Amino acid sequence: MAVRAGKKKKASPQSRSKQVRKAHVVIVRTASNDKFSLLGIALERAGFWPHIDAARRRAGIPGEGFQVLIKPDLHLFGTAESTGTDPELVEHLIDLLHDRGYSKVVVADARSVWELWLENCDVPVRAELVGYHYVTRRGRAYDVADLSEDVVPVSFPATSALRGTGIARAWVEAHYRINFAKNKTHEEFGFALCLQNLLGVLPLRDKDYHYRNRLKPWDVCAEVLVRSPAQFNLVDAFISNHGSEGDRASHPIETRTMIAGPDALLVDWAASLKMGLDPYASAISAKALRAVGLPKEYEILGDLTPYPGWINVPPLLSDSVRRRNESPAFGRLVKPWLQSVNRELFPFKDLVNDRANAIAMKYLSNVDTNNGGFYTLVGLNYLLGFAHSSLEAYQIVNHKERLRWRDAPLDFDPKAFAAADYKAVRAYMEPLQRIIRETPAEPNGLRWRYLDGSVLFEFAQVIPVPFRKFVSRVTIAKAVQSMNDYIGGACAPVAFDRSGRVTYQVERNIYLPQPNWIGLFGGQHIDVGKLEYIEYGKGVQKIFWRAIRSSNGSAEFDDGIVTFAAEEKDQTRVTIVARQKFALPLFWQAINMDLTPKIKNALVVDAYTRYFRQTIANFEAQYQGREFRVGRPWNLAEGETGSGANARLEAIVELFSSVGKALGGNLVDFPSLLQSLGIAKKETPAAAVDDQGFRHFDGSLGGPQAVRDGAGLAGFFKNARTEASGFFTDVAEAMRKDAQIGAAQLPQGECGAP
Amino acid sequence: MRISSVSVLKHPRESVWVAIRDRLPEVVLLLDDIESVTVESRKELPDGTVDLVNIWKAKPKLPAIVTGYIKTEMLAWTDRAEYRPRSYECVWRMEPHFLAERIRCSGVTRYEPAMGGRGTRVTFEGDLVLSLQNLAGVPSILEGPLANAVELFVVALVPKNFRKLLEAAGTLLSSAPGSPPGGKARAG
Repeated sequence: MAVRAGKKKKASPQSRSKQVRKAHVVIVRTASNDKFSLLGIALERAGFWPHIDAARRRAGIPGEGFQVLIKPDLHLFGTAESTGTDPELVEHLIDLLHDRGYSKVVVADARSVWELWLENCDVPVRAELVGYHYVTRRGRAYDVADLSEDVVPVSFPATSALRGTGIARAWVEAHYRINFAKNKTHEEFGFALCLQNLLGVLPLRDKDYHYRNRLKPWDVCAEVLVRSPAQFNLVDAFISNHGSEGDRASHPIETRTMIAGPDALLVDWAASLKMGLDPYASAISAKALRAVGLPKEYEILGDLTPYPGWINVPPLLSDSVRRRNESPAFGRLVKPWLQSVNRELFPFKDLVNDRANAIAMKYLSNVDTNNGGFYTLVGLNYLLGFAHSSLEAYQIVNHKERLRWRDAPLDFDPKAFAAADYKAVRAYMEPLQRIIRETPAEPNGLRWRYLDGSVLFEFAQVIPVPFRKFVSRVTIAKAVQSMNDYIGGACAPVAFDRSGRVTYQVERNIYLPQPNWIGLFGGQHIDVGKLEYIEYGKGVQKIFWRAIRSSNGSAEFDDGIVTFAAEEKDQTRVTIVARQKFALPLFWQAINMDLTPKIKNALVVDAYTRYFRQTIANFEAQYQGREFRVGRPWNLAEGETGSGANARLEAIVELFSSVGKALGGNLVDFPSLLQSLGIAKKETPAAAVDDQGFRHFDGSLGGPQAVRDGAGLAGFFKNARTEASGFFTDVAEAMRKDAQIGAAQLPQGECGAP
Repeated sequence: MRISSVSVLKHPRESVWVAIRDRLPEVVLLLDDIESVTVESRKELPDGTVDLVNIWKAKPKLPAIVTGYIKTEMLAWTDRAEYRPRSYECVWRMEPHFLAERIRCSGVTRYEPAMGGRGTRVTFEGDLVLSLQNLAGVPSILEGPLANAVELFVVALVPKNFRKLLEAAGTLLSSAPGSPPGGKARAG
């Protein structure tokens, strides 16, 4: 890397062309108010014109037929705001392109989640209202395209987060794409620049649901960057937006800078350094920097000194927002309340959001100067984040069917591994299998022992189905995905045998925390990338796997073998050998179970017995054609119809329903706790439910006298919990029914649907 | 209280202007909660100004609990509008058929070219005055809060309905021969 700053040097034609070829980013600054000249200078110095000319020559298309697309940051909710790219600069860029013969220019963005909550958020209309006039100051007409329309398939690979996703034809078929981002902070990611602006290329409207919760923004932005990038990147830092509300409200600061270059990551790198930030501070940038990286050789031309007076988002706020936004329901519930909006141009579609926004803007805005607002917001975010994680932990233990699947890409490059690496997996596992086979079995058949802190074990079960029939329905290559509590991931075959069967395979597997109750203590999902070797013999099929990475550090070992073997009397023996070591949450690390081996051993035997019995049950279900996977899929049509009011209602229904079930379940079995501590006696049943669903209670329970004795105390708590559970569940059910009736009665237009 | 709203239609100003002025009875057929608009009088002045008096009848979906108290005349109003072609402005006054002496609502709607001449920006501005003093059956202590609540509701409702009207006009224009490519026009 080289950084050059200071005096301008007149470049010779030779050095100029050299400059164009080298990966570089240009930072230019002015003391004047002329933003248009500054843009021109940035383009010149960044070698934009030779770059686009070369692209046109390669395409073999004359200038007037060469389609240029500009993707600005359209996150604006009023005129003269600084949360998005300045429309005047975009129109000036169009004029400059026309001057050079590029007359076919379109400005484009995809629909956003704001369409659910606000009127006039349709892309062309929104553009018009925030200052795009469809004709430049010099009379050049241009169009504004909606990147959610005319979506065409894009060949995202099977290992990609965006597999199966399309992108608008306008973007895909543009001969040259310019990503024109705003220089701004972002309350969750620290900053939002060129890379994050690529989220606006993706077609689905509810970007939070699809690209923040269902998929992850760092995965999808990296995918677009790799598969369908912009050829040139600009950051409008003439008037920047800084402070804690970079995306939420205008807090302009005159930085009078323009940053430009062909490489989006390098442009973001320079722009984030100018903010005084670690370029890895944004999870979106960090992922791309690690997966794609900066150019091998690059040059930063210009001054990297941070902007004076610049305010970044406090890490406490970012962390709290991140936790809040982990929940699709809570994130979307609160988002419209916290956005500064010009209501005349973008009125709220419903009165509730309108009022909530008015109140939130009064108390929770300007948080850089409003300490009370700052801490209230942080507290609210953490509260919602805590509610979400608690409900998720509860669902992991008691209602797995309510969990959402994890749609995740493969997080390593299969090309980095050769055939020998796959074969080595078998060579690694076979000696371990011998060790465990010669270990005495528990009474229930489980064999297990410790090895370097990991647990090595084997479990086998005979299934009364002929081998051939069994393997025709239960694919050995899918065995790892059939393991208990698999909640998502990605899988891609690498090599096949002559019969077309998979022999080498890569997988990313995400499982629920193991054992599940660890989730109540903050235990994380097990997320492991694996190499797999599969062999097919006469009467036997085997898959060997070995973990090669765990992106969240949840597993040190997760290796194994699944064997399907023909057994006499038309039966199939399923044998699972595995070596596992998962990270424990801090609480259990502090407890250090190694010091109490009897308890630890009992827990190990219990946990693995449950795990493998359920896994075998999954194989049986698969054989019988029954659904066995835990969780439920995401709604791929979410946000494409309906309104924000519906989404808010869903969030509330989800919350009530979850609270109801949590209270109805054994999240905190207080009565049992009282009994085990000897404070309460075992109580008689508190309630019975008749055929009509009515609950009948013993009138003596819960009364003052009863509460004083042990049975009454336990009964009181159980009674109260049952009642509360019933209340929340019934309210949620009633709301759900009302919503269905309402949706059936309301015409589309009533919901603000397109 | 001031009422305002901005909408953008993806149709040229002239078509939108003519549709709202001359084809209102057709436009409202596309609205679920308007029963009819009847032109009571129409006068064209030499300078091109058109004076229109329309009678609107609504048929909103109301909760069952209030339907017994709402009479037909409560859901009708006279709309007196003056369409000024030079400035593409419509100066209007609404006279409700119920509590007419307590509700005054008037304003102006401006039609401006948008989207480089391919669209129309419609700005709706008005003033609403509610006088709910001495309303039968309402204790005086509640008059203020009631007026505030009604104003809040009306201030949100009137622009919303106007946007729906424009949306319907856009749909009507899109269905007409020679409508813009893409067909589906929306009032934002």
